[in-house]
Amino acid sequence: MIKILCYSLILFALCPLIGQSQDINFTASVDRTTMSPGEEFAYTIRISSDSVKGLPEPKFPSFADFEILSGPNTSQSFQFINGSMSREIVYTTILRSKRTGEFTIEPALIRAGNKEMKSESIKINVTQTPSQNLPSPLKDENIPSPSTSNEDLKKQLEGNLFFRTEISNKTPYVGEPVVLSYTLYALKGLPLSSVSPTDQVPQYGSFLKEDLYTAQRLSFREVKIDDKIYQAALIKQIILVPTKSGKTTPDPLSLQIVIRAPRQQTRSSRHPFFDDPFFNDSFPDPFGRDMERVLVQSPLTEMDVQPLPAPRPEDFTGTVGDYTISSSVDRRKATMDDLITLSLSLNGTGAVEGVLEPRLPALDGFELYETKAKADKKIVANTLGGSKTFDYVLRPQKSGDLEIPGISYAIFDPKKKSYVNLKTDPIRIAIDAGTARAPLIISGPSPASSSEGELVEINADINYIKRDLRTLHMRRSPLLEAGWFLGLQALPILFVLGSFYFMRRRYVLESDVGLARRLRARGVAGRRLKAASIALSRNNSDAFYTELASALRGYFGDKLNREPHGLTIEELSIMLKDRGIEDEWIKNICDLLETADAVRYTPVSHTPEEMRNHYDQASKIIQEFSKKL
Amino acid sequence: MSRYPAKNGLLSIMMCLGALFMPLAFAEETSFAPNDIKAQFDHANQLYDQNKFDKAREIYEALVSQGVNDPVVLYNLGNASARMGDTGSAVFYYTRALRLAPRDRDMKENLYRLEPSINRSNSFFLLRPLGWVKNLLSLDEWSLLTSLLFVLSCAFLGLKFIHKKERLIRIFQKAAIFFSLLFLVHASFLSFRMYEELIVKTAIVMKGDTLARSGPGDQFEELYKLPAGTKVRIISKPQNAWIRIRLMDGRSAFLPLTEIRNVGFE
Repeated sequence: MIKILCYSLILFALCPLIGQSQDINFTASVDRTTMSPGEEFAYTIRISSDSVKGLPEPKFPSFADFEILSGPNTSQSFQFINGSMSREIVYTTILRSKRTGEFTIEPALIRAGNKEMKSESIKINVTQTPSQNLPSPLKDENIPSPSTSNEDLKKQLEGNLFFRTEISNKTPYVGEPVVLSYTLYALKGLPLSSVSPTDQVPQYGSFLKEDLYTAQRLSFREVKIDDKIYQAALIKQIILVPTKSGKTTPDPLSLQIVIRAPRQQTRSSRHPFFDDPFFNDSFPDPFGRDMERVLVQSPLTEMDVQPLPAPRPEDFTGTVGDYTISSSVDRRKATMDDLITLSLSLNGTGAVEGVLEPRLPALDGFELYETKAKADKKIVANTLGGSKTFDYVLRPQKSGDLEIPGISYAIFDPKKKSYVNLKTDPIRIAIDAGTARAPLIISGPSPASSSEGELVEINADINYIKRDLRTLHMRRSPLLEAGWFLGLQALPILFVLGSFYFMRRRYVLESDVGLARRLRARGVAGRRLKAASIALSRNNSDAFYTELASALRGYFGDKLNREPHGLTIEELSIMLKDRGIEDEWIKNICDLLETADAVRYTPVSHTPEEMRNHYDQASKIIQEFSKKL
Repeated sequence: MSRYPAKNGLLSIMMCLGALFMPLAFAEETSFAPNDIKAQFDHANQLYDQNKFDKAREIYEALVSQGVNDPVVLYNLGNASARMGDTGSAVFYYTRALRLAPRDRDMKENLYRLEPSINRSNSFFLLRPLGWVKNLLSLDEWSLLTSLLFVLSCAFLGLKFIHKKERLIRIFQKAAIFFSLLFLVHASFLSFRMYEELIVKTAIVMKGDTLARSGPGDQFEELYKLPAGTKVRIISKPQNAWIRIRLMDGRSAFLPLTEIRNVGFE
């Protein structure tokens, strides 16, 4: 029980220490790397973790070559999947280029525990070169016209405000990541008031999606198209990984734009009075009636996803990308009692989370116990990549110098448009016999096999039986269902109630002396009568009558809240009469007190029978008056 | 009473505790080790040592059916079942043994090795430390500890009422508050544990590849196959010999009653 008490007292102190290991992803990026002087761009740091612990604060690089317009603005997101939480914090800083030249933004830093992590350094090219005069994409890309209820405005916006989708590769292979960028173009000087996405969220049904950039604040750059100067702002950038071949069109993205419309359009409907120059456009309408909502939609851009070419290599599992492979083991010397972890790691560019497990060759002398996979995704320069590691837990089945053969893994490289065969080097491990026990037969969910229920021979190493049995507990219901246990819980409550009653009673007695004397009158009188009884047994007449008188006077003094020494027979007689006591009782009391006083102060003596008679009378009086007073 | 208040206070607490826990001494008399039961247990262990797992299991099972509810017997029975390839029974007995001896490492390790990974689905991150604390003590241990703290908080509160000296009253009041707070915390964990063991019915799937269906009958769609040892929560009353269950990851389905066994107090 002491042990249990100690556990309970220390466990709360320990609770905050129960932590988990923290895997942190850390990247820094900009929305563009080439721009003209005075142009704004966003520098974004993303820190994410699958742990609940606080994420570390980044140490920002110096932005001495740029002007900081705002930030760092922080946004935080949480994701719950199967009860596990992941958390991401995004720091966005809006910068403006000051002068031409090539600048480098140094890596940002974070410190997670004892580990320091660095982001990539980013090169920014600020050039004075006038924008290239690009051909209009309007016809080629079927860009929808802006939609608004104001027909005049619609005509004016035609070709001057549009939303464009750019796809890095329109004919990717299945599993090859492509970057999809949504850019808003507005003719320079167009009075845009606000831009916000509509409720219509695009669906990318046959793709896996990874968010790359979402504009928190529009950052415009100037672009020349058909000799017109446009302001272009990147709205959203995502990476899509096609999961099936064939022609497919991602859903368009829509934006709602509020434009300050020219007054001329609305003036015709107004009273001529308002045509006075006093009400010209320089006065903004306080009710916003010259604001127009315009809906712009990105064009439907078709992609033709190519199937992976046939024939496929035998050991191809479906991984697409540009990867290198490496393998390692956690120990080169082990015993048959040990578990060995073989780690197989693929590093490179591609959808790392979709990298599939290699098919292991026959491992002579090893039993595959468990496989774990862990992906570490990174986005560098708008390219999806990172690493994926497969940990195979192996148990040696025999001793000697064993070899894990080289593992062959075929991938499809979309840049080379061909299959590439990756292979690891063989690994040799020296195995000692150890204290390995004979293999056991255990059925059920063997980690090495998916065919559950079938008997599978594995070296399942369960702990041995116990023999330390001092007492055999017979089955009984839990304490909480036992009536006696629940009933006993009432005892402490009764103790508290009793104590409370005791405290109240003590308080009342201390504050009311009369009541206190009344309550203890009988007890005090009883003690004096007992002393009288002793004197009676010794035939001591003086002592007997002294005690008898003292008992009666004391009793009535306590009951009537008077000092017994000053209580005369006459006074007592009057007070009893006032309380409605019958004359016969008063006479008896007075007679008895007079008799007792007479014996005490005169040489009168009484026989023992008379004394016994007087004793009985006194007892009867005290007993009777306990009810009457 | 007021002459030796500290002594009297201690005496009161001891009397309170004595009155409350005295019946436990008598309750312990229900745990005994009659020679024949001990002999049977030793014999089963010998058979286990000789790799006669089926014979050993028969004896362990006989002990359990006689009313023996000792975690060691249940653990050994789980081991014998595991050696015979009966993963469902092994997980069942380990689970029952751990309810009686929740801090036993051997039991935890064996259960971890045998139970399907679906039993270990991640709970909400805030609940993980609470779950660890909750599983530190058995239901009866939580009950006793909570009851002890209740007695102590009541005893100090009562003494605060009884005593007249200001200094003692302050001491008893602080002690009453301290033990009341501890009592509330422990009562919360007791409630969790009670909910898990007495209110929510937990069962184990006894056979491998048990088909979980979308309704109470073979005519309903097959949803998934459950491996032996899968822990499920019973969420409705039986219908046509089928019962609705919920897996640890939150999915629900129907299973035949014959394929599962209730871990609770039978």
